[in-house]
Amino acid sequence: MLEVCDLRAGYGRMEVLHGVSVSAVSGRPTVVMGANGVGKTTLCRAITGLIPLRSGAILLDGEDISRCDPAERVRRGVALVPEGRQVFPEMTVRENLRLGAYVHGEPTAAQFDDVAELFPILAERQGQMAGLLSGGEQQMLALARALMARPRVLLLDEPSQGLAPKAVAQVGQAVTRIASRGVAVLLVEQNLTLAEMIARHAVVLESGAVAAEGPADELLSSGAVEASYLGH
Amino acid sequence: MIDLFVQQLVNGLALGSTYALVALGLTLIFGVLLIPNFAHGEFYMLGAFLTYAMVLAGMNFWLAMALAVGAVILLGCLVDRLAFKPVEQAPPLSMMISALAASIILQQSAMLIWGGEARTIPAPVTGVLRTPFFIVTWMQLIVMASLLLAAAGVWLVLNRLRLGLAIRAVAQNRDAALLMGISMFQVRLATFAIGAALGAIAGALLGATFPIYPTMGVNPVLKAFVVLVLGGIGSLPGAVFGGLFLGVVEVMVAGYISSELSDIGAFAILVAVLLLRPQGFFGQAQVER
Amino acid sequence: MKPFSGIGAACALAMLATPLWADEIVVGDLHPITGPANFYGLPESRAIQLAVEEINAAGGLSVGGESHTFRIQTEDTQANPTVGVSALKKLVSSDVRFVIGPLSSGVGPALFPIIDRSDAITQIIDGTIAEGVTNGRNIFRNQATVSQYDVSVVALFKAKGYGSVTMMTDRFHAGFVGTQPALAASLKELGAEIAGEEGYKLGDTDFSATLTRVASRNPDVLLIRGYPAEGALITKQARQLGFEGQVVWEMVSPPSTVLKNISAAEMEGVYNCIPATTEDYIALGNEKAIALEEAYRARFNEPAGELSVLSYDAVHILKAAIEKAGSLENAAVNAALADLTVEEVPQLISDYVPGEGGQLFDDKGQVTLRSAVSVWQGEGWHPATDVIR
Repeated sequence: MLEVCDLRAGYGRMEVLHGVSVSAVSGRPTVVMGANGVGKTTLCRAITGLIPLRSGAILLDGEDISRCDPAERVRRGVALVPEGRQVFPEMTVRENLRLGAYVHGEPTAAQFDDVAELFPILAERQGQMAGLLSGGEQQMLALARALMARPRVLLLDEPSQGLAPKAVAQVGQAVTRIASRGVAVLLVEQNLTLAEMIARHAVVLESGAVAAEGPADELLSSGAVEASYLGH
Repeated sequence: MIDLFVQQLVNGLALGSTYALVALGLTLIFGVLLIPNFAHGEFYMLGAFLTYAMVLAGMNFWLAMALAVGAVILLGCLVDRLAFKPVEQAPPLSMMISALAASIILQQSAMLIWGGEARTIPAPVTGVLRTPFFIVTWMQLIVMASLLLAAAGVWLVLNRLRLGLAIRAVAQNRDAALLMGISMFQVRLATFAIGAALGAIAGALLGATFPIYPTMGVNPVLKAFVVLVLGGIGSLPGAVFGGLFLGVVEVMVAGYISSELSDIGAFAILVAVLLLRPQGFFGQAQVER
Repeated sequence: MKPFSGIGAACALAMLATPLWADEIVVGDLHPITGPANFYGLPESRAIQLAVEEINAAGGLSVGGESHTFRIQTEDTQANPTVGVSALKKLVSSDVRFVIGPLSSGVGPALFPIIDRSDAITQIIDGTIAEGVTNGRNIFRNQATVSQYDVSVVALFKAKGYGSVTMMTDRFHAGFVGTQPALAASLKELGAEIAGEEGYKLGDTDFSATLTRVASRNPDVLLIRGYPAEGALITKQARQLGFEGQVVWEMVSPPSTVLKNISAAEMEGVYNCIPATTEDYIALGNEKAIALEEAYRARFNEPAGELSVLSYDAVHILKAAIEKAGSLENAAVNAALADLTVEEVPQLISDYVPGEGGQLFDDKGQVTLRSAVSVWQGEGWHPATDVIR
């Protein structure tokens, strides 16, 4: 499991997160909700090591990984599906998948088969440039790519962004299947539909701090999230 | 008139090969790391001078060139560590200034060691190939062949090696590459090593054709930046075809209009390309990074 | 500020202001000691040093019954106008009133307006060939002008009767560009067709486009006017592209510099139209030139430069003028220079053509050097005695 304890982080002189604690546990997919600009993406970047922490700790199964470089965190099992998908547009689908497994060397055939089974569309398009895929397909690819790193914790940053409802549903199904294999899922979202599909636990983030937390079915229907979006 | 045209075309391709050879290393470093490496001209210059020094000491040209390339690779990695890595997070202007500083320091060091006088590396192959249609020196043919070999070599590294996959990933999306666990240290080192090697190869070969002196790298790098813009930044085929295109245009302008206008012609083409196809011949319309 | 530094600076200033030896005459040596033209400049500066040492060792100068010695203050122009001007200012602020130099057609014209206005500087130019940098009042030159180079070219064409010529000129060399129309007219008058006038610039490396065109027209002569590195490259590439006519250079070109850029075999038979240089005088058996060469080799362990004889001459010209004036005042020395005859300076190595009254300088302060043509044979230039005696 992943535990983020009292985390402070930001850019330059600006602190975005003022002591955030969340955790992702296998079998209990967690969603972090919040309006634009509350620090959701900053949280993802800090957990994966793209930006440094100011204080706090990030524990993966009890071990502090907050001083490891991004590569080491991936190697230990933290994978991120970044905001905006961020596939490598001028590489083939297959090359994107190979890069997903980069820390462990070349991926095995079994890994490719696994992806093909989860996302049949990617298997069909494996020779195509990733930049030519549709938005939904690119999101599948980003998910599959993260999966290639054999993560223990999967972070998803706004995977529903810019997707048609049908594609959102496909993403939701895929993430649910991944979570059912024992991967701890931490979803960062604005979209209630996807959050309700996936999460069992929810955290509401407001201006860089946790405003509310509880079981997803209660919290998401309580109106706390909408209130937070509207700034009360 | 026709055979004159063929001769001028060959002249242009020979000149263009020299531009492309210099542009290859520059486009690689710029494309992958977004570093405007002005010091590339000094990799080129040092490749030439080190080869010159060793040939003068009695060494075989090709061996001297190989050793010079090795030395310049080390130097390239050192330049990255000292001049570019420390300003990685700084604004792009700092990067430019740092690049210029590295370039000037290397130039002046060479000036202290070898003095300012122009000289030429004794060519390993002399003589010319005379065909009914054109004349070309063997050395020019070697430069053209080296361009093809170098471009093919870089293509193989980028497309067949795991390291190449990582380099391309960084070039396309640095943040996403970091998320894949790619080590920036390795990619930087490899990119600078390959870039410096390409510069040194160009220097050694062209130093056997053209005079060498400490500031010899300044003009070719300016031309190489033009080639980059023509061909599309970061594109290898762009560097090759952009270089050849620029060479042919310059020669045709000098040959058929006026030798006074060859530079003006080249830059007029540049402006035209920027207006009509800002991303260059082979560039993709830039995706925001 | 530290308390002592002010006093220290004052002491230093006082030391600069009062010469250590009141009977020393300081000669400003203004040449490119470093930079791209130092292969011309350094041998000039060294020749000044040798001439001064020789004069001092022989008892110095006698000015109005008092004996004086020369001291040299060297300033580096790097063949760069901006650096050259600040070097001159440094000499002026050290109260140096006699200057020998500079070289290069960029620096000479930059210094001219400053020295032309000054009545406290006397200048003898031993390097640049640019036109319009002497005035016959306080600025004199014992080097040739570009037009005098052109005289040699014309002499060569007259002797050989060439029918056509293409000129390739460094288009940033103000001297060569400025005299080109006059030269072209003179050659036309001799019946030579001007097949083309091409330009290039210092630092160019690929001349194939132009030379392809030159080779296709195949003129009798390819005349190259500029600096030797490009001269060598143009010669080499012209031959490679099948040009079979005569290559003629018009530039001071040390063989060591030439051979760094082209093989001796490819240079064989190339003519060079410039007044005789150190090497030519040695080859012609000029004893004073041979003595200078020996002293130079003994001291610096390498042969003297092409222009060393001019710098050596300049020091002796200055000595003769000061002694003739019997005064260290610039005005008196200037007048003596204007009036000086070739015979009054027996130490001169170069072959100066005297004016009507035997004067060394004309009313513009310009000498006339005997025109000459040399030809490349083996490893260097040799007087082309078949063309001009």
